[in-house]
Amino acid sequence: MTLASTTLSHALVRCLEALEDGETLEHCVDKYPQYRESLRPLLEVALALRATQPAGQPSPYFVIRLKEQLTRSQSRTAKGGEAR
Amino acid sequence: MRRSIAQETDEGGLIALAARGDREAFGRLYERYVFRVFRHIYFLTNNSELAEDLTAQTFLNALEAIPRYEMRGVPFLAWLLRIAYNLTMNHKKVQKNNGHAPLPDAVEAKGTLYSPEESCEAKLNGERVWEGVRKLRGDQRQVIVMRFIDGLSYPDIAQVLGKSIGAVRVIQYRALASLRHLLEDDLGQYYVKSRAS
Repeated sequence: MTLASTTLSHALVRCLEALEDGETLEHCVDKYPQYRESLRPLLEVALALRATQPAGQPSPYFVIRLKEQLTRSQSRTAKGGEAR
Repeated sequence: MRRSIAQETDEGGLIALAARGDREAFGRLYERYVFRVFRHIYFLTNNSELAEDLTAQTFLNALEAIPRYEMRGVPFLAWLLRIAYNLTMNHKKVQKNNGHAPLPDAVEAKGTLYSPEESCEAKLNGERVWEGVRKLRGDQRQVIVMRFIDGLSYPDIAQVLGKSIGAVRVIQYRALASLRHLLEDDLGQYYVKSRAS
C-alpha cells in the first residue's frame, strides 16, 4: 500500500461522500486539483454503480418457508433447554 | 417491567429479546433483513438457488449465535453480512469457483442521478460496470457490494472484513480503478463512444 494510493483513496472517499450529498462531479474534483485526472474517471464509475443496481429477490415461498424453519429450530432449542 | 414484543420496535430491544429465545423478536429481525442478506449473497454468487441456501444458513447460524451477539456499535446487518460473507467464502473455497459467472439478467435503474434522456445511457453503462464488478478479485468485489449495494459505512465494512478502515478505502480505490480499466479494455468501444457523445 503506497502513500500516494492512501492519500488518493482518502480524497476519493471525500468526493464520494460529497456526490452523495448532491455535489456535482466538477465541484468535487475541483477540491483536489492535484488528483483531478485520477479522480474523475473513478467518480464516473462510482456514479454508474449508483445509478444502476442488479435486481435480486428471494421467492415469497422461500421467505415464508425459512421463517417456519427458524421457528421450528427455536422450538427445538427451547425444548432441549427445558429437558436439560 | 419486562417489555413485550408488541411494544418493542427498536433493534436493540428486538435483539435482546431474540437472544433470550423470543421467537417473535427473531422473526421480526428476520423479516427486516432477509431481503438484504439474500440480495448481498445473490450478487456474489449470481445463483438464486444457492443464494437462498446460503441465506437460510446465515439465519440459522445467526439464530444459534444471537445470544453471543454484543452490541458494540456494530449494526446487526453488518453482523449478519459477516456470517453471510464467511459462508459464501467457505462455499467458494469448496467449489473452487472464482466467481466469474455472468451478471443477473435483470438490472434495475434507480434513475435518480440522471435525467430521462440520460437514463437509458446510464443504465447501459451501469450494466457494463456491474459486469465488471463480477470480474474483480474477491476483496474488491466485497467492498463494492457492501458499499454500493448494502450501503454499509466504511467502519462497518472494516468490521465485516476484519480490516482497517484505511485498508477498506484503499481496496475501494483499487476496485474502482480496476473497473475503469476493465471498462476501457474490455468494453472500450462502447464506453469511449458513450462518453464522447
